This record gives sequence, structure tokens and C-alpha cells, in this order.
Amino acid sequence: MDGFDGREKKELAINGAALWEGCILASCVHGVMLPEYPFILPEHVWSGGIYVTRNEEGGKAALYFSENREVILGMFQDFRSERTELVLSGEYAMSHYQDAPEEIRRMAQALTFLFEAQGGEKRLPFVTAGIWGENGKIFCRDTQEDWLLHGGHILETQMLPFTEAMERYQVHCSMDERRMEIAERIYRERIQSPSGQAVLTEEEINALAATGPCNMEACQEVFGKFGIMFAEAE
Amino acid sequence: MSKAMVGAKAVKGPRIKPTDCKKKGACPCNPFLRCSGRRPYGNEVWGNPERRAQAMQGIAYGGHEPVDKDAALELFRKIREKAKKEPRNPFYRNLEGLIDKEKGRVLILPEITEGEINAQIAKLQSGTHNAAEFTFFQKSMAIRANLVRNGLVMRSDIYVTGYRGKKKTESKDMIPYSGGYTPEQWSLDHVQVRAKGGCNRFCNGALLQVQDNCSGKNDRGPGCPCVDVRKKGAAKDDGQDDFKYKVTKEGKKYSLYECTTYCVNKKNKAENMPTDTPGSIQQYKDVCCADDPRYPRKKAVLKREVEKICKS
Repeated sequence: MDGFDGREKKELAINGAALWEGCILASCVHGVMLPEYPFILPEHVWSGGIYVTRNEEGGKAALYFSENREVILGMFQDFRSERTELVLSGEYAMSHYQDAPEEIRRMAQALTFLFEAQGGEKRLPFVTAGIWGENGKIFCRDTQEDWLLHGGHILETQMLPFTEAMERYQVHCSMDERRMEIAERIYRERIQSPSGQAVLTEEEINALAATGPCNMEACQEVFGKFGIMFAEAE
Repeated sequence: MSKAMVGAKAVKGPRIKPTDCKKKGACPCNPFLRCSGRRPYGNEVWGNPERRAQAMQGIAYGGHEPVDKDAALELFRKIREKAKKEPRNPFYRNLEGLIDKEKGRVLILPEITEGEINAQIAKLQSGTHNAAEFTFFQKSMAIRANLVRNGLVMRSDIYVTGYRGKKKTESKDMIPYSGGYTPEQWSLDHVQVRAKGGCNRFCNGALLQVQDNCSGKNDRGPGCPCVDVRKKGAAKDDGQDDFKYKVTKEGKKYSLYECTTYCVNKKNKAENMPTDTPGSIQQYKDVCCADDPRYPRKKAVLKREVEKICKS
């Protein structure tokens, strides 16, 4: 298996709280662009502390954050990875968490249902990299470079500082000035506290609705999943 | 407003014939000519006033029923059991929220105006470069064209040759991104793959099912594996000069018209340089930058321009 099993766990240079903020920013951008481009709906999904993102090449990353924004678990599926020819098995998927605490391994096992791919007649877990958190540190059985190569790169933009990330979103997401302002405002409000909420004003909601009035229900639902509410109309 | 219909007949769309140069020895590729045969994606719709008007309308589209309800319920039951065993761990309750239980919902591509398209096309002048992803606007233009061309059913484009090791001669139905995830969902593919410098211009796009798009590794697919960038101090024949690029915070951005030969494959390179002088693709800059699917150059005009450059 690519010499993988002989490796020891390594600490990655990732700041969990900064990564959480990057995921929130990506989700704010996603929310403000959704009315105009509804096909992006499944690109960023939240369910409680679990964040899932997909890229246009079928790659996928899932992160589970604790209440204080620490990364507990991360799972990656990258079809561009050289491991694509090796990894279509439950055993290999779980080998990424071999050195993790038992509780994390149980959670990873449960999370694999999101990472299944067709393997012959069966659907099997297809995981090319994994990370986990212990005492505020993030560990992996790959080096940082290998982790990026085999799936970590899916979170590349989420790991950028705010300004650089916004520059990238502006181009890739075809953003205009107004929606960049809205995304930045709600992002700053939302990251004030991990369990807090932010509220989109009526004027902001109207600005988003002008770009795609029929998709506002989906937009509201998406924002609601990570603590951003729509102000009630007066 | 148009509505996507089930069972509408697809009409003839472009057939894509990517070439994948695997020759040892002198590379026969003219990098520009390898992609100049393709028109900006959706040109047959966006270039026709009536069909363009239809593509600019609001288009409602919904998915098939991608969710296996029984499987979803079984999964839900298993995770619920785990949640009961570990009631203090919110992870399993959160996980329940990620099971696809609903059928694909109907979403709506909103109406778009000529002014909005002009503004986005103008932005693309600085937003297109090699190895870049397609923007949301480009994806929107591509799927609108695909829907209109195929009688408001999404169908994948036809790859004529064995692409990424698979022979694809048939167009397949695609499922819109309307919630959840299935392998049959659409994906805007780079014909000339990104890892080999494929750019994000309309002429390098094609719609495929996501399972077909993600089936290849970095170094597979059309692209020229023959040339490599010369390292500092290496002999003149040992690679070519690196193309011009801007250094941005996102990394190197190569000029658009140099997009086709910058290559990452180190294993399969030829012994000699291409017959075309490296970097000569820059001559085609003006032709290559006419990438508006509404107003592409006419084939005859394009041919004349290319011939003129080739002779010079």
C-alpha cells in the first residue's frame, strides 16, 4: 500500500480555529452566490459541527469541529491522487486513522458513508487521506506535503488568509462588489463566537434576491445550517 | 420561464476530439492548432439570437430521483443506533443531517441580461489563465447552452476518441446539482486537462457526468507530455524556456495563449523539442482571446487568420 502502513503519525501545521473561520468564509460566499448560481448548492454543506465541501473534480473533504473550533476529524477523497488505484476498501480508508484514539476511529468509520464510490458491484469507502485532532493539535499519517497532495488541497482556499481568499473567490465565484461586502460583513459577525449567530438584514436579503429571487428558500436554508439567519421582514 | 422536461430529444451538439500526444522523438504538435478547432462552449446556442434569448430566460430545472430511499433509511437507522450508544457525542446527531433523504429539488437559473453577460465576459479577460478552474459565470453559460441545445434536458457532450482510457461515443443524461450528490451529476470538464496547462476558456470546456470527469489522474488525458521546462544552467536543448507568467498570491499565472504545452509529466517526454518553436503560440494571442461564445470568429475567418500566422 504505497509504504503507507509503515508511517508514523505527524503533527500538521494547521490552526484549527483559522481553518474553521476559512470554512465559514467559504460558506458565506457560497450563500451569497447561491441565488444566482443554484447549481453550487452541494459545494458547501454544514450539519452541526460537520462541514463538507466538494470541488469540481469530484474531490471531497469533511471536517468535524468541536464546539470550540478545534478540528476533531477530517476525511478526504481526491480522484487526482495517485492513491486512487489503491484505496477502494474500508480497511485502507480506516488505515489513515490507525494511530488515532478509539473514539475518533469510530467516528471516522461512521463518516465513511459520505465517501463511498463504486467498486465493481459494491459501493466502498474511498478515502485518500485523513487527519484528526488531539489536545488542540492536528495529526496525520502523512507529511503535510503528502496530505496536501492526496486531498488536503481541497481545503486550499479555506486555509488562505482572509484577503487572499476573497481575491480568489471574487474571480472564481464571479462576485460583484455588493456581494463581497455582504459576505465579508456576515463572516465577521459570525466568527465573533463559535456558537453565535449572525443576521442578514432585510436590505442584504433584497440585494441577494435581486440576483435570483426564486432560489431564496434554498439560500435561507443553507445559511441557517451554519448559524446565519434572515432578519424577519417588518 | 422555461421548464426542463423529462424525455425531450437531444439535438446534435459538438463532438470533441481531444488528442493526446504520446510520441517519442520529435513532437509533431502545434500547441495552438491542437485546440483551435474547438469553438467556445455553447456557441451554437449563444451565437443564435433566438436560442440565445431562450438561454437568457429563467430556466427551472429539477433532478431525477437520485436517492435510494431504502438505503437512506437503513443508513439513518445505523447512525441513530450509534448516536444512542454515545449520547454525549453530538457527532452522530450531526451526521444524520448529512444523509440524503429528499428527492432532487427544483432550482432556477435566473434570467440574465446582455449587460450582465458583457460585464462578466469583460471580467474574464483577467480571470482566465492556464490551469484555472471555470468560474461560476462560465458554468452558468455552459449549462444554459447545454439545456437549450438538448431540449431542456442536460446531456453530456460526446467524446469521439478514447478519452482518459475510456471510449465514449454516446451522450448520457446528466443530473443537475439540485441537492445531495450522485455520480451522474454534471461537471464542466477541461478538455485540455488542467494538470497539463489546460486553460479555463470557453473553448476548453465540455460537459460530462462527474463520474467521468473525475476518473482520470493528474497526468492523464489530452495534453502534450513532450516538452519540459529547462532547469537553470541546463543545456539549451534540455527543455524549453519557461513561459511568461505573472506571480500572484495564488501562484504563477501563465498567459492564456501559452496554455497548451506547459507540462508536468516528466516520465513520457520526447527526446527532441517540438518542431514548433517553444513559445510561438504567442503569435495566436488575438485569435485565442476571442472567446465569447456569443460572438466567436466565423470558421472561415479563423482558418484564414491561422493560415496567415502559420505562413509567417
